[in-house]
Amino acid sequence: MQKSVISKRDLLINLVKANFKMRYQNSVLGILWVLIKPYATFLVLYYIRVNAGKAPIENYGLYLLIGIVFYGFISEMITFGQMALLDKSNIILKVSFPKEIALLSSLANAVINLLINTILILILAFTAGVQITPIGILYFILVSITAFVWGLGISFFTSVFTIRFRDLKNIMELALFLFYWATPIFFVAEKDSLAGGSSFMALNPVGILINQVRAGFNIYSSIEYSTILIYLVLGLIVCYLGSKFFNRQVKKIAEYF
Amino acid sequence: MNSQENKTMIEVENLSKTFWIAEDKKETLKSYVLSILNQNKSKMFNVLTDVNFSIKQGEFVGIIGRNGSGKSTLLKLIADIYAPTSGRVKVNGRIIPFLELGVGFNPELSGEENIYLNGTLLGMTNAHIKQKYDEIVEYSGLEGFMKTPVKNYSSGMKVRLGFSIAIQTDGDIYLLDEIMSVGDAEFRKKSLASILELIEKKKTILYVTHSLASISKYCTRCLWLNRGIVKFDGSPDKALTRYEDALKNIEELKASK
Repeated sequence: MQKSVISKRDLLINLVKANFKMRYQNSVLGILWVLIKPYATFLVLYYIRVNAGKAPIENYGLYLLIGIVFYGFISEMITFGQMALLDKSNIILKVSFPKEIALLSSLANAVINLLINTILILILAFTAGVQITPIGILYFILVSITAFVWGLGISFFTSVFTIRFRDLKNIMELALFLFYWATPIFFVAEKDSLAGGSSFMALNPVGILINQVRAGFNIYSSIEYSTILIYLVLGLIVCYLGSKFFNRQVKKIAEYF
Repeated sequence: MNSQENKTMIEVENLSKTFWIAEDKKETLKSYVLSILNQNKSKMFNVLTDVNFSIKQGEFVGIIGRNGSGKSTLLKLIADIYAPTSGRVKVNGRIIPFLELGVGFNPELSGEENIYLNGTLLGMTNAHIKQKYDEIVEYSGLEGFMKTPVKNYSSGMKVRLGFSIAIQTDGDIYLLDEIMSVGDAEFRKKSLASILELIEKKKTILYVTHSLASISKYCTRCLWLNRGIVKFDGSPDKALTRYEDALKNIEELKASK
């Protein structure tokens, strides 16, 4: 797999460009939408929270923004990855090319959006006077890579399943919506007493990842290398199994479009 | 040179392809459940049955047969778009598919962007496309339309652009599906000249068509497919005589009924 990806690098670049253009080309605000969506959500939730009383923790604004942006990243990887093959059915039916490139190109767009939003986080952190260390930034990158590995691993499965079972798109949308409220994005697990909820919260892997991103920015949590390494290793296993499944199944999908 | 001319480019062994034709596409949970209760709803459809042949370098093979005889499916199996149900296809060299030209374009992107996307899908690098770009545009005769989104192209323009990209791609085996009947008279003449050039270069060509005249004029060999079975494989003249006889018989049968 590795070899073919490298020799088809230009294809990957062109597909990423095409995806990106398609998404924002015909809109007036274009690429600004990448920022508007999370920032508008942020403003609404921040207003509600701070108006309801005082902010639950120090630097709550940054806590909230990181939660929204990183959940958005995970959610986009899941949605884009799932639709990666279906969206490209017209070219898959016309020419044979390494299909993992279709997958990577879709996930790459989620990564680009994360990069753009990271600038926003950095600006807010800077204005709030939060201390950002090089190690913190490196840790943030490590957590993002871990999330990406999981996103890719899951997409290896869902991109193929979705072709045979279209309902999966709606199922995943619903799951992502529900998960949004089961993840400490706008509430703070220890401060907001949620009867019985906190034990589930502690096991929620998305919540753990988001808290580790926060740790990288010196907000709320502290860095736990061992946790992230376990997640990374597990993610790589899922990726390995996923790519095996994907490469076996992807040849058979053309007739199901 | 002699040994090279005898190189086998395509080997098809016991190739069969079966499609599941579902009367209702089973894509949702409800139809899954219904299909279990109601199993006769979908049926197997043998598109190709135990097809065997091998093609050597420099051969120009015409493929004839009535609609639904499996011609296009055969090309898609050779192009590695479909996976065989049983048997195998061995290809020795780089394939350039001319299948459903223009269908694979991204309608929102400009002609220029589509040249790059399509070119890399066919295996070219961006640098190579840049070199060939002017040639491709000139060949297509669409000089004034490169910044226009492809959705505003006529179907003839799309086909012309698709052909121009594919013909500029270096390959060993060219799969042509009904392409000589596209475009206006002038473009047809130009594309025919390019195909004749490929023959001179000892490229291997598979050509699916309903135009029997062009088969006898250009092909060195002809495959006649009838309901997924190779009915004849040999000289074009013999193939056409038998094919035309068979067509006449069918008409007589219909007339007598």
